[in-house]
Amino acid sequence: MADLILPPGLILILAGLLLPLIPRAAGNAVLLAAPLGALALVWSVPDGVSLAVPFLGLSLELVQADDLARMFGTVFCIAAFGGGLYAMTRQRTLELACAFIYAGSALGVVFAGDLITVFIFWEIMAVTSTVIVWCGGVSARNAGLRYAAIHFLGGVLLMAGIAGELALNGSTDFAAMDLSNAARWMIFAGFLINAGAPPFSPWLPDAYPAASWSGAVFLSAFTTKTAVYVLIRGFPGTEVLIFIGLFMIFYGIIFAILENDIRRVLVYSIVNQIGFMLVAIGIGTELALNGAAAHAFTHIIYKATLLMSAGAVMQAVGTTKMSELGGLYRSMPLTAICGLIGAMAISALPFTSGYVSKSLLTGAASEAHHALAWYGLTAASAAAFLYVGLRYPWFTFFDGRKADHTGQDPHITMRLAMVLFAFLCVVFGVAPGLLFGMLPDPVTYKLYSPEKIVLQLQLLLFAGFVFFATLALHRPTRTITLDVDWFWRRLGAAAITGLDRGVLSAWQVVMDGAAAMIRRIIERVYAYLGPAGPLARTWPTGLMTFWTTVLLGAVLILAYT
Amino acid sequence: MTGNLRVLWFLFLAALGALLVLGLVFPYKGHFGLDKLPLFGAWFALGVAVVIVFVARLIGALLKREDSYYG
Repeated sequence: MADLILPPGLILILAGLLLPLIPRAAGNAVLLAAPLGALALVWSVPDGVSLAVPFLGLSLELVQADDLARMFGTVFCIAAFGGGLYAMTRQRTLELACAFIYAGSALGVVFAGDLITVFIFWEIMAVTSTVIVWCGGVSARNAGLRYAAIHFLGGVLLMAGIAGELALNGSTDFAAMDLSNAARWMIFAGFLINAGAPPFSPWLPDAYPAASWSGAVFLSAFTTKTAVYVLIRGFPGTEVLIFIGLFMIFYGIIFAILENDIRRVLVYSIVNQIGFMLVAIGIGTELALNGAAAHAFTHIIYKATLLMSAGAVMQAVGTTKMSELGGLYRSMPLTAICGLIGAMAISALPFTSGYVSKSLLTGAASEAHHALAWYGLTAASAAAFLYVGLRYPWFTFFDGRKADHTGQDPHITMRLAMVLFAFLCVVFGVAPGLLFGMLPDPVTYKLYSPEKIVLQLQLLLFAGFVFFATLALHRPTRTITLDVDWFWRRLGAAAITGLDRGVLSAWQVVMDGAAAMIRRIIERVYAYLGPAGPLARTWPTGLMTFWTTVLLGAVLILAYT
Repeated sequence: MTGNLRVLWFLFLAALGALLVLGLVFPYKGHFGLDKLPLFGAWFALGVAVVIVFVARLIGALLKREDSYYG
């Protein structure tokens, strides 16, 4: 039995299946125990392929471990633990059950050794995450449908690419690839859709804020970061990722600045932060890939902290619109502090986790002499402080001008989850060795030097000066900003409505024409056979005799020929 | 401007001033070009923030709609 290897995700998947069947108290124990059990498995599986099963003449490598897989596996278990703790008071079991199957499937992708296994868990993630979005209530129905459509499109591209890869190279091994054929482009596109890359980025701000206060915490951790993981493993050093990443960085910043809903602000910032990771994957050096993995790790934790604080506001106040919020630090001090710590971590304030991972990214760009990437990442560090570091906490917790609501800090389990994650944001900042010890390659990069700390503080505080000097321009308004999803939410809908009307009109014309033709035929027949028609007239006997003779003659001729 | 706000602004500006001094004491050694200029972090962040705010306003003027736009 010592050699028995279990897929680390299996525990979470089984926990998810079990949750609806057991009493609430036992379910709460499962919520905490299952991620810890999965974490133990993550750290116990040996390097290399340790579990494979035959499938249609292929080998499904269900467990293949290395440092990168263990690192992502670790943070996914932490996210599942924190998410479970945070959502413990949630009445609806379906969401939690799906969330654990979703988390387990993300672990399935991380430990997959071949592309078919990746695809299987990828699709389970798509289905379960759609249900989590739908658990947000009736208003989430359409967002969930759009989310599912886009993710199934990604799944189709991925499956087509895998089939092409199998046909061209006879292998489904999941290893580093180049973009040398159409099949690999399709795999690449399938991965990018889940990463929130353009043109499909709006699935993130459309779907995640539609989920419940607890569902959004789970959603933020797994899909995009699993995509980052498969891009690190499958397409390191693919240069086009630098440009896609830079676009995502600034797209995320600008749309977050314009947004009114705090959860949409935070979700646009996921796009922005994934952009950082894609730039690093595109650079592709050892330090850059370490940086991408580290940033995914820290991002999961500080984004969960931020979404937990936003979820607490949503639950306590009933709205997430900044135009209706403000001054909540008085009534929700713990939520405000945790939100502020998350905001400082995402802004890469020195001695927070975000500073550690972002330093690796900018260091990698500098080491690779990639000026565009370095200036882009540095500019984004300053700008990110504006929209999340300051705008979210200021207009939610501190600005008192529009304090239409008061709230209270959430239930103890939610508070514990927020505090735990806020604590981790600081721990990985002051003790970066904890993070570096998990990275795939050794890190020799010097993080904390006076000139680097001063540079980072200058970037943040001078950007902060612009924010406060132009505060009136940043005041939230009851608006949304049209995004690319306008094309399928409005133009697409209008096109389908137009097509529907066009087809109906054409059908009406055809039916009218057919009816007119049938009417004319009936009129003709009636004119011929009707009471006034020639065939209905009384004919003279002589004429009848004549025609009878003609017909008989014709019959005789035919009979004798 | 209230008294508290005035104090906060004073402290904030003092922190910015201190960072400028520290930037001269511990200069960042750049790798590319512009980043080798003195106090790079300060003026670069100012410039980036102003541009981002301006661009966001411009895009907002074009694309912002009532939040009931999609129903």
